[in-house]
Amino acid sequence: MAVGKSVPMLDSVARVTGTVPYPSNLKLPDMLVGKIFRSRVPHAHVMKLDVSAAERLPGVVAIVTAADFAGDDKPNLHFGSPIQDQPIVAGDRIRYIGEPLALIAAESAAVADQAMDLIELEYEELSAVFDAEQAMLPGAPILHEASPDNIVRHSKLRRGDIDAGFAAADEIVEEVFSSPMAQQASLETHVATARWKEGKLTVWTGSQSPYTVRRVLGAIFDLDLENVRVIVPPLGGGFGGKGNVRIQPMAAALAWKVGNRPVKLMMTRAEEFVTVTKHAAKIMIKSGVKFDGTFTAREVSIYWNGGAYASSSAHLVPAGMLRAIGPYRIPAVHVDSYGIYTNLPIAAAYRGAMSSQGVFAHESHMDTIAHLLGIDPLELRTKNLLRTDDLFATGERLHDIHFVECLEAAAYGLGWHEPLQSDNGTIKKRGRGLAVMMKNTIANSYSECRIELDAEGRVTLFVSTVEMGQGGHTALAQIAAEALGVPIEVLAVTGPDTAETPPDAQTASSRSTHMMGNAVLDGAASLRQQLAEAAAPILEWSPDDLSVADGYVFVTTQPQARIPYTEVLGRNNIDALTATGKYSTNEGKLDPDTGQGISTPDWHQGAGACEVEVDTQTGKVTVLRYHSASFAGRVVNPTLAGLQNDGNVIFGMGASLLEEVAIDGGQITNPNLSDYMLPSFLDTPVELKNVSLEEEGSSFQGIGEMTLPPVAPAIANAIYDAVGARIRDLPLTAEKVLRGIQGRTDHER
Amino acid sequence: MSFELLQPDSLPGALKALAQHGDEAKVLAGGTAIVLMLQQKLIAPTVLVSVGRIPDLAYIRSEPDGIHVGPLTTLRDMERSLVIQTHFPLLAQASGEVGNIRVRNQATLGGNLAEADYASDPPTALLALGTQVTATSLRGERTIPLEDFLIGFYTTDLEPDELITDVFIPASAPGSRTTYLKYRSRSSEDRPCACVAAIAAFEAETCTDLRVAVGAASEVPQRLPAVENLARGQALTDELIGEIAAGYADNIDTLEDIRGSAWYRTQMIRIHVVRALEELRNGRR
Amino acid sequence: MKIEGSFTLEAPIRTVWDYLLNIEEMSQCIPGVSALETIDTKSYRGELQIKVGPIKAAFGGTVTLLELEPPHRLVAEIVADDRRNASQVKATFTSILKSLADGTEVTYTIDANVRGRLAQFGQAVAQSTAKKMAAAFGSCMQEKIDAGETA
Ligand SMILES: Cc1cc2nc3c(=O)[nH]c(=O)nc-3n(C[C@H](O)[C@H](O)[C@H](O)COP(=O)(O)OP(=O)(O)OC[C@H]3O[C@@H](n4cnc5c(N)ncnc54)[C@H](O)[C@@H]3O)c2cc1C
Repeated sequence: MAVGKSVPMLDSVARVTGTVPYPSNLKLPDMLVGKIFRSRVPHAHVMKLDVSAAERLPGVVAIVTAADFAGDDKPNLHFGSPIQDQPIVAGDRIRYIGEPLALIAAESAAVADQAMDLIELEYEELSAVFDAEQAMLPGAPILHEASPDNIVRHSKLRRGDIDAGFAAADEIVEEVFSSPMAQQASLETHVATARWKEGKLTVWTGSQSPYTVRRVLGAIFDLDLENVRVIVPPLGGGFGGKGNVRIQPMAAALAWKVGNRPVKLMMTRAEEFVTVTKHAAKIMIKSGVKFDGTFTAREVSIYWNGGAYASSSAHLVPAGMLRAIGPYRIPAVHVDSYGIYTNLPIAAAYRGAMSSQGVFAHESHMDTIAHLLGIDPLELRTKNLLRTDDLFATGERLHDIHFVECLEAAAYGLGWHEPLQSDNGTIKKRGRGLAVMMKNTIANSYSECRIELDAEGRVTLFVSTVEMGQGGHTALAQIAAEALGVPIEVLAVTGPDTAETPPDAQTASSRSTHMMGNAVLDGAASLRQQLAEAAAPILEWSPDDLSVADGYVFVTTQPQARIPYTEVLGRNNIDALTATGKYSTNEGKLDPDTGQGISTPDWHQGAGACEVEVDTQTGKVTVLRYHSASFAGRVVNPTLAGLQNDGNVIFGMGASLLEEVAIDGGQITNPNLSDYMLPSFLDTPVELKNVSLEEEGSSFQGIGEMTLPPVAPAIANAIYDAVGARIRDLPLTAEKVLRGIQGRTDHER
Repeated sequence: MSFELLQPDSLPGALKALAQHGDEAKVLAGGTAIVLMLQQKLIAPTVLVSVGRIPDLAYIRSEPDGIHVGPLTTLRDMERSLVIQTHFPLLAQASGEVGNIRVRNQATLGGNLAEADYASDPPTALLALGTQVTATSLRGERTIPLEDFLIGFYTTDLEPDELITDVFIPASAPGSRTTYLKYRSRSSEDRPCACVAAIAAFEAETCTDLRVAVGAASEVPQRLPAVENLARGQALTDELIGEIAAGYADNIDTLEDIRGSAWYRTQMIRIHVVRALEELRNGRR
Repeated sequence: MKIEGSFTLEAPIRTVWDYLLNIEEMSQCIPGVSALETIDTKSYRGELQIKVGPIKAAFGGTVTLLELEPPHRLVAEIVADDRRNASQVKATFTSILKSLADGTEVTYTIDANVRGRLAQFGQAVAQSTAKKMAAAFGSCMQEKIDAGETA
């Protein structure tokens, strides 16, 4: 059986020998270099954009500006999924520093750089706003006239009698938490290569959403979808930043203007920071509790800084609303989640989209309450954690709930109740903390695959699941191999290529192993049926009496009556068998006024517990031990699952302790990886352990994100346990911790 | 990015190229700093003079009065040198704390000093050690004490036509105890937020000589002789250590950057000077 | 980015004010300023060269006097571009003069936005460069005032 085994990643040899065909390595004959002329001011009216001198420079092949889109027969300037407010290049209005204004296709990067200097831009600067809450105030600069309050989206949840809930409380605790803008920081930056040929557009790109890219490009250029082809080679990382549509329209527009030669557009590291970011968020959370630790009410307000265009915020803001509540039994809950336009680069999904910010808030808050009430943080949580059949704040009845198991697995793994090893001396203090998370998945989505079996017995799985280092293709191959009863070695996985591989919503929100995995099961069942039908005349049994396993088609009741599956097609003179598999979910329709309804088919569940050491003189935090747990249902590949869990923790330590996009007047001042600090392998906890919880009869659940959001609050709670300082704004820098220890809240700046 | 790459295979060849191109030329050693600047388009020299093919610029030579280190010596070689480990352990420490092993294998001492990035390790150790830098041009050779060599942010006393050709570190008094403390406020591969290099000689419990350099917290690493002198002829008591640490913390005009505010750096100077001096008192060599 | 500082000049407040407002004369005291020309009574065009180690910036732009409260307060806006570095500085400069027993204290606040490539070069460097320039400016002004008094 292939499922449950730690088979190596299908492309593991290519990965260690450096031969993975990443989209950034793509070279096509006659290919041109694309470069972007960007705005240096955060908000302005464009008075004049003159590219004529640049166009005349030898080696410049084409320059695209908003003027190229004027006219009914021209492509659409604006795009966006679902709100079309983002121009491919800014027209009369600039809305953030780094916004593209002109696109250059040239024979070489050097020529494109020279051309950049020849572009003349005149503008009239407008006042700008960078803070989400300030952007909501009356009189704030308005980014889009259609949204005079700068609100992209406001989602609401109303459950129970909130006033009665607070009135019934013994204690009311109110706190404010904030998370900064961060960057997904994939090793491979955004890249897209586009080519037009005979009215057809082909784009090779690093994207988590090939079919969204196809749809949006089709809309921009008014093309039938079969004339848009999107090919996605393996990515050098995505982390949510490569979801939705980013630079592909620019590459396509350049190639469109050039006409007959491909154009490659690849972001520098600095450009990466203005291409996509993680939402900065401010969260106010207020809870009513009884002395015994029972909750009576919770109110949450969230302000997401969405940047200059709606982009992914439009659908992430409602998701973020649900992810900031916490997996607890609370009779009355009110949430307001605001996505807000500001003069900053757009914000979008970041691994565990819109969860990290909310989980940091509600899990730090849980500890504040636990300490106030004198209840052990683990006990306060287990007392209140949601169980199967409980109702969530949306009013939906929960199924397959394992929060308590996840949290206890992490806590007991760490040795929650064992005495802390005391330190020699008083300078370094140790402490422990834990946290748990719940996340709805994409509730209304679709996955499809095609499986082909050839006469030699080779199986090819055609999927639009994106391989970005997570091992998604390997997991799907394992699922297919088991479901087909063939050895994993005969499996090959191909895609995404919208001309070859069937539609899939996107590779995001830990959905692929679950959604595409189920589509593969569906396809495999149909292929097995076809195989049985083909084998039936040979074995002289009815197809219904046949099974496929271990590479044989055999009579279920007489396993010795069998035929190798590789011979079935040949003996029937069939070249290949093909089956299609599908899986879809159709939930997530919440009442817009109350947030009531069924939000998700399944819940993502994870937890973490850690032990830290704090240097009380410097405030420096060392995470010594970290135990994480996620609910996997059924583990497809234990090694890969473990790497997702551990990888999340390491990734999460960056956002917890180090990462923050520094902004001054709308200008990002640390757009490079020496100033924007990622964790080093030397920072990983000495003891890093994880478990993926399984359940009899359960199916594959996604586990790509679940152990990430608990990292920041688990560490913050451990810091509090160690030194009594409660840090409410990420990242938990040494300086903040030291100020916390010394009781200094003033920033001497 | 368009420049001409010159790869002279002799010192006179390199000096000639520098004399000829003056301000338009930049020296290329390990490239770890200059290539980043080129990529970020912060500098745009028309000529790069690589010194990699010049023979005999990478060496660690021990002499009775000290050691000479060649400018092309990598930080990794300094970290691993037995001579440096034995006679200047703090320099081996400081070199070994730089970035990560990939950087240290490539980065050279000459490049590190000429770069004059305030957030560096080796210069602070070298300042405590009383290092002298030799600069050579077609006009001749001169020797510059490190405190005069490092002028300000990314600024040294080097003229555009000069190359660092030797770094001399005088021997410390026999029996000196030394330490180098690097404080990173962020990841384990980060540059320093503050660093302290200290050297002390003792007769029994009495400190006969103390040198303390504090780096990465201000524009250039600093020694404060008046504060150092507090220790002369004294036992390093907790009180005295506190006084010296306060002397450094109070008298250095700390800077603010992404690794910490000016206030924070002042705290870090105080704490790390205390830690360094305690280490010396308690007998570490 | 906010840069604050002060220096003291040995001259009465009125003299200092007059010197400050003699823009062409005054601008000679700002290290690196050249080619200053008057556009009108309130605005000037000029160039500013700054060098920090290997990094050179050459800004060209305008200075506009926004508020004048003689002899106490002056607010000016500076917008300057450096094409080669694809950078821009936009700054509001506020200067407050205060009479002291033996001279005048000049405090200044520069609220600057550095945009483009140079922005990542670092706040510490910008702060200290501005402070050094202010100190040089202060002593140059003193010299001019002294020279003016004797002349
Ligand atoms: C990821 C990373 C992390 C780092 N972390 C640290 C750290 O923790 N601590 C630390 O101290 N440093 C750190 N550094 C900086 C590193 O030490 C320097 O970049 C390196 O020492 C420069 O040496 P190089 O040979 O690469 O110089 P190059 O990049 O070749 O040159 C640097 C400068 O020196 C000039 N130059 C070089 N050689 C000579 C010479 N012989 N004469 C005159 N001028 C010369 C060049 O013209 C150039 O201006 C880090 C660097 C990186 C990339």
